[in-house]
Amino acid sequence: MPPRQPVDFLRWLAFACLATLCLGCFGYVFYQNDWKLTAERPRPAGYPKTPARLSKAAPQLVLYHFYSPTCPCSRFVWPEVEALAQQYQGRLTVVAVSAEADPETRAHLRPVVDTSETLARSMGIYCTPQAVLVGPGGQVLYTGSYNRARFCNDAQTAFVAQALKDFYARGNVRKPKGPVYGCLLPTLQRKAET
Amino acid sequence: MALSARVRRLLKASSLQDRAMAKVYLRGDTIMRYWLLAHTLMGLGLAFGYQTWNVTLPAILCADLLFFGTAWLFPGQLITRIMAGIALQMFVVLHIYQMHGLAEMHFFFFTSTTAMVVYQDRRSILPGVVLIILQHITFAVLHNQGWQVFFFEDASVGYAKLFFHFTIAFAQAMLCSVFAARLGQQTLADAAARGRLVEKNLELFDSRAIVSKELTRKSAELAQARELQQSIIPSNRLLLNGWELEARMQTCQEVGGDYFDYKVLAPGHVIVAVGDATGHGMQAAIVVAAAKAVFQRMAGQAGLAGVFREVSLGLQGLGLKGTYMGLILLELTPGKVRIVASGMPPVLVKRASGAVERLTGPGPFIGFLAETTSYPEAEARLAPGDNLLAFSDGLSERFDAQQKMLGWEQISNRFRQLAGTDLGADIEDLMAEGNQWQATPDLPDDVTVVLAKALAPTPATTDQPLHLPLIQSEVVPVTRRV
Repeated sequence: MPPRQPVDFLRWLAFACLATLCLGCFGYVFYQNDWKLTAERPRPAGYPKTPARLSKAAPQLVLYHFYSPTCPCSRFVWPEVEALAQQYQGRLTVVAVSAEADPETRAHLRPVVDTSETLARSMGIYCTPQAVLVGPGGQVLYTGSYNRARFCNDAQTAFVAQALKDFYARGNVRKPKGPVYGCLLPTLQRKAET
Repeated sequence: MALSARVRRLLKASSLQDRAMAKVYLRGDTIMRYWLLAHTLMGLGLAFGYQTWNVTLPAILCADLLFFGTAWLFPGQLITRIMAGIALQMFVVLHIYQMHGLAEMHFFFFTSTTAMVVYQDRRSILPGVVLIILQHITFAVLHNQGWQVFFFEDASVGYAKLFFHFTIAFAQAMLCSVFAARLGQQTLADAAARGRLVEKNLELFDSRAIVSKELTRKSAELAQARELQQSIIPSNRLLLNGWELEARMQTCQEVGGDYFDYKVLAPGHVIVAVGDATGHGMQAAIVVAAAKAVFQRMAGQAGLAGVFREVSLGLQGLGLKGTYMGLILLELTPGKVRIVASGMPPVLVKRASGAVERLTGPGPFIGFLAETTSYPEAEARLAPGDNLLAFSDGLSERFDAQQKMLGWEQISNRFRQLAGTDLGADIEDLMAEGNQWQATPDLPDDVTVVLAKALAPTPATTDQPLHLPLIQSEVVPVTRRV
């Protein structure tokens, strides 16, 4: 019927807008929170590199876990960090370093609030979640992500777990550097936004 | 639920089938609203797991808005069903993300495609599934080309993995589509069948009125026939010189096929007829009427056997095929009875001592045999107080729950026990015997019972009967010969 045609056209127009908006927003949310954060991040220009050896050394192996309570990647990686701490209990000290105050307390992981980002900068860390594995002599054994795979559940790319295994089995680590992805540290993020 | 104008218009769709499917689609939209609400609640719950609120809230909003918005714009239409499939897949993506890739979250793909069967439409399932498959293939290609897409766990996504991944997912979607289509076809077939039933019902409603009118006309006709038949049955009580006689007839249909009649020839001299035309109803009633005509004409004109033969020939002359009659003629004179009978149960005589004698046996039916056929005859002397019982097989051929027949023997036993003072009460007793024996309440055949008692004869001084027939029945005879 001719009189109903404009109504139908408007309805389809409304639908087209709705579908574009919904699917677009949906995609954008995942792009922002998943895609972007899992893409490898280059080191910002002028940012210090990770030193080969730290001046201060602990008597046993230390895992510096850099994280951000607001970063989704950091939240996803907690089970793996907890599992490593549990597996190497007594032989490995885990230090959880965050640039922001974490409402959740994990006392057994020696939480450190690094508001000034001094600790991160000194170890050349600009992204969370990242791991720095330091040997008893202060030698940096591994830096980088815990896992390259999206879901941290592939043994092939569980870099930190492999580094620890290597260290205890052979005394050295075969892959000292892993990929760097995740959320930028707050200062760097603010800089990137401006 | 209040229906919007658009929904009402949809339900007014042209054909019955369109309306049936429109109902299914609208119901599907409602079920899908609840289903997506359940996913929404689960999504909110799962967000606590890894504190994924940044993704959860906008993703839920997008998925719900997509379906609820489309369902509002196009209720019960294909585009809404397709969007339902896509919104469900959006929730699958969200749940997988929320649980950080937990393998079990992928199972929601299967619950989602299965839930879509509710629409009974094969077109609505595949678009959402194809969208997901295309997205996976695109990401796999990007991943393999070295883009920073950490979507798959493997370093490189193999064709075998992709093949099995999507073949199984696609097969499930196809299976659901086939079942949905089957259900849809069933709904259409049911609607068509319901439509035919409605039409048939209307036809039946019309024809019921016609049948009802016809039935009223036939009932009136039958009532007239019954009235006519009852008018030709004589009074059921007779008191003569030397005899007292009483009869009862009960018909199983409007008109009966049993026959009872008598003709008083002289004081203390009467011929009684008891008969049973084969079958019952209108055809048997015609035979009875013919028999009566011959009997009333011939009784007294020929001997007893002669009357019997005339009745038989009269029936033969009717030319009704397959219609015969059993008949007993009793000629009662003071202290004596003569009997000609055929095709009927035996006539029983009870002596003052209580002994019961059988006077005649069965014999052939009449109405089709040659003129020369002789019929069983018998004669007996009766002392005052002796009783005589003649009945049609409607009294004895009654069946209990085990299909066992009442039979003459039992009637004979009951007859022996009767007081013999009040003939009417005795007949009621005999009829009650049959009714009690039978398992079902309906009367299978017409029943006629005639009971006579011999009295001490008074000297005949006049040509008139000492006692004129007493009329006790409500049936008033119209054909009374003078």
